[in-house]
Amino acid sequence: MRDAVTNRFKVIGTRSVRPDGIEKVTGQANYGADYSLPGMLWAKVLRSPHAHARITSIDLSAALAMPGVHAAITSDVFPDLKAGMEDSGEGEVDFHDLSCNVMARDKVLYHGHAVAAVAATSERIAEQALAAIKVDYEVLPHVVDIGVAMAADAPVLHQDMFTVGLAEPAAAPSNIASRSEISQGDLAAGFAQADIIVERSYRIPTAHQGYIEPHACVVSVNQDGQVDIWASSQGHFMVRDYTSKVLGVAVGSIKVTPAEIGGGFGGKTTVYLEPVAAALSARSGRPVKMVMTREEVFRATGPAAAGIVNVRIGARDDGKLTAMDSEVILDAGAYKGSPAATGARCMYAPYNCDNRRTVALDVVTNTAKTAAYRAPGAPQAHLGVECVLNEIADSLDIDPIDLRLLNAVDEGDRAFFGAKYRAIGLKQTLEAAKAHPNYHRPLANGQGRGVAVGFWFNFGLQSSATINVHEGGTVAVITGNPDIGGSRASMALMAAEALGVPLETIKPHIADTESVGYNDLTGGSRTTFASGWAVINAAEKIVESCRQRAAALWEVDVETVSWADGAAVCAGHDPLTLAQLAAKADVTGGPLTASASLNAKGAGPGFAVSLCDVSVDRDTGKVDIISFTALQDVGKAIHPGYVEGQMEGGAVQGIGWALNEEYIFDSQGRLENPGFLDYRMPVASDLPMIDTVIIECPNPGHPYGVRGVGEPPICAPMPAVTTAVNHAIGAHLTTLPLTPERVLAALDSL
Amino acid sequence: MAIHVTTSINAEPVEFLCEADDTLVHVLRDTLNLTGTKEGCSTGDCGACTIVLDGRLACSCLVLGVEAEGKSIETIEGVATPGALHAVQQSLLDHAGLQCGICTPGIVVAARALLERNADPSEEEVRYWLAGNLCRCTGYDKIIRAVLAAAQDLREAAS
Amino acid sequence: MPTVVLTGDLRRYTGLGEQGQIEEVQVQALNYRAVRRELQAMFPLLEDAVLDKYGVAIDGVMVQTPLLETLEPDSELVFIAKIAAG
Ligand code: FES
Ligand code: FES
Repeated sequence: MRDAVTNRFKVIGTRSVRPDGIEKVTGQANYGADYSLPGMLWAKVLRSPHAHARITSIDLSAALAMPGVHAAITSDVFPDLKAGMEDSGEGEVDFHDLSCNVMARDKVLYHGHAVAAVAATSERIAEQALAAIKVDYEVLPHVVDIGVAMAADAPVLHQDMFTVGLAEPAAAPSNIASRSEISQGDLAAGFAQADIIVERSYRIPTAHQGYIEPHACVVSVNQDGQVDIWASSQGHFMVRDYTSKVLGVAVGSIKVTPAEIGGGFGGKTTVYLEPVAAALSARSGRPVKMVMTREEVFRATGPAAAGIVNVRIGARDDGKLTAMDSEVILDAGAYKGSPAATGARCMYAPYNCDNRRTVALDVVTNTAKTAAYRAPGAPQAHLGVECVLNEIADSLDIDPIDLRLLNAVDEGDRAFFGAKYRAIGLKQTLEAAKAHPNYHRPLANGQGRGVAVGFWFNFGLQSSATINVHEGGTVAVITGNPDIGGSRASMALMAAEALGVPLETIKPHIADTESVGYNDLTGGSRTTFASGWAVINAAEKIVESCRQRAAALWEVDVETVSWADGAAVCAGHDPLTLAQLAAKADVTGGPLTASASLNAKGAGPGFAVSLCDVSVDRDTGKVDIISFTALQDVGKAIHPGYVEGQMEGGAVQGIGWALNEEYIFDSQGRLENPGFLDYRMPVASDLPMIDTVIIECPNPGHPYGVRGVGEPPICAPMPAVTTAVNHAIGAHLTTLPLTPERVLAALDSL
Repeated sequence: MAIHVTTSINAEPVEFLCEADDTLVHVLRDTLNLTGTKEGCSTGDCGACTIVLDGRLACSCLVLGVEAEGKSIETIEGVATPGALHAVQQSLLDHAGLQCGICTPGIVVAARALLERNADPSEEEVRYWLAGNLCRCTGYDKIIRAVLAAAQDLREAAS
Repeated sequence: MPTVVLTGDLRRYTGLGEQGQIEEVQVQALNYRAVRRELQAMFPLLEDAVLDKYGVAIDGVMVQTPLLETLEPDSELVFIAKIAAG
């Protein structure tokens, strides 16, 4: 590894001002809904009023006859794609399902499912036209709860879905899309060795990613079939590729320009509007703009999976784990693909234990198709294991951090998911938690403390970068991942470090799909790791080219030329700076530019620890967070401010999920709280400052030691908060969120 | 029937036409192209659309365009002066107080209004003042620190 | 000889031991594609469509797209089901 071991960085690790900051604090930055084009139409989507129904007919004629209406569509305009999983880089996608989620065919599977769409000269006319569309439904029995959906007599969503992964092929269709199991050792023997066994069942509600920016796009389709899209997403190459599939047009005829993205957290890793807007634009010959309402965002875009997590763990008196057995059941929403198996692999990852098993079940319900939400599946799964470990620590009277240290994985240990760990910082992070003053603050009556560990794999995948050195020595760094939380800052820092030039000379830019090589989406905590690596590689090509150019100018062998502090140096010559070499580019071989692409491997796993103190009001049941400490091994913090920001933001999302956030359905399967008033996310006055501790155990798989940062922060807060509340009131609450009603009921039943 | 409205936005006289039920945030964004004001919910719950209306903070999604008649409106576009950011804007940049930035215009407008009323707010006062401005990315920590630091900067500049 | 570790559901296709348990096999191959061919000769049920759903870790380094990866004689290759991102 280059400098990571010696920590001799010049600009990396500084808290520089982000390059895109001024646009964002002055309102000049353009997000998805901020684009408009001349002659643009507005489009709106008609959504199902039923949770489960067969569509018997749709009549668009009255809508189409209205003045100002230019186009109206149903799913008829999209090709009927073949079912089956296809690899999309970040995981697998069934494009038949995706297409049906964009606009329902035959059946609607959730309240809010898109049925038809209209483009008109104004939003108002489009809305009026929706009311003129006549849809006949045959209402079917519905199921919104995963527990109920698994029952033999539950209404079945997909008659062609047979559980995959059973020992015997399934005989009848089922809402259980798949079952997967991983086991090792001998469970029965492991439990036989245990001095204590704790078994609990946890329920986690559906939560929404809660990004403040609703989904939005503008799409223009030309007469020649060229599709231009401006959209906010976690990956404009993903928008291009998915839209091309749903429309049945070539990838090469679509260009996507990324808008600034107003939050995603995994929820903007798929398409909802873009294919619809493209179909309407093609039919009307006009650009089409679509912006979801908040209610549409809640009803019809990817919430995070609800879950049932059953955990049974055995340990010896000294705290050594002897057996772990769990079942992770996660809600996929209307179409298969919950992150149950992923979560199941995360929850044991921090620990060694010889005998263990997980069973993961992917279950469909009549609710919106779920999407990723930061470390998808992991927070739900960790909740079960971490809370049970805390209960074991209580029973054995062992400090919960000591219990974890005793069982924690380290370099060379085989992770539960199979790989052997290279250097990891779990023990360091646990030791830092144990030493933290917040862990030693005396607790008052009615207060409780909780500790938990979280894990995420982190991703590599495909990234590209281009660097252009301008005359004058400024440097354009062009990448293709939407900047969701300050990644321009980290790209600029890495480029400045690799080139040895001042940070102010770097101009990071995020290019459209035609102007930079392919990039997988911003997700899996991969952008700083993989796109940053592409930037480093491109910068090193620039350095190489500069050395050759300097050698030619000096008439010396290139081997005698080195690169230091942004300049070519050679004994007996004055150094030539990047700016000086750029000024001579024309006579030394042409423009100074380099591109690099890679499929990054060696993403380093990330571990996080949450410490939480709560106080519970015994009269009202209200829980207040009085102290929260987030600790995490980040490998190398490129920009510590934005690393802390990820840790703080993830902590608060986890706190919200633990205490307040949940989807509430009525008896008809309709979401009752599709707004920020009733779906209550944490606000500033709910919280204390979040204390953060960055641990840097460099990832040996990255030139600068970077690990992904964005996902581990949400893995540990839910069990930490839940344990703290249980400690405060002396109960064993296992159903989230821990609303005042639930807390009061627990207090009453003590 | 479109209605003619005469108002003032960021100290400039402005006229526009709107329908009786058009919200001010739509007029600002879609009619006047002042897209710095964001719309996150349209129900007064997120604060992304925060503006100042006749000296008072308001959610522009809860104000009708026609209500702007004869009033004075301040939006995010009027906060920075040419060549100089407001202390709150600079402080948010210095403290990494934004990630995605979609909440930032509303936070800037609201925090500036706080500091105009209270030059030395406590952490708790800042937290309650900004309780109507949702931010999903930051967990608020760095926003609160940025506003407290901006207050100090302004106090030092004034003394 | 490199070691291949077959985890989780892959065991369904190998018939080794109890379903779901980890099992190791030794191979001669020194690159990923040859490993696949060798495994498929041993376990005919391990079809391409099955293996395509797995990434690998080679000596602890996670590789989602291993087609051209090479191995050392003492390498360990672990098949790991692909995961979805946030
Ligand atoms: S858009 Fe006005 S408060 Fe949310
Ligand atoms: S920075 Fe994204 S919502 Fe506040």
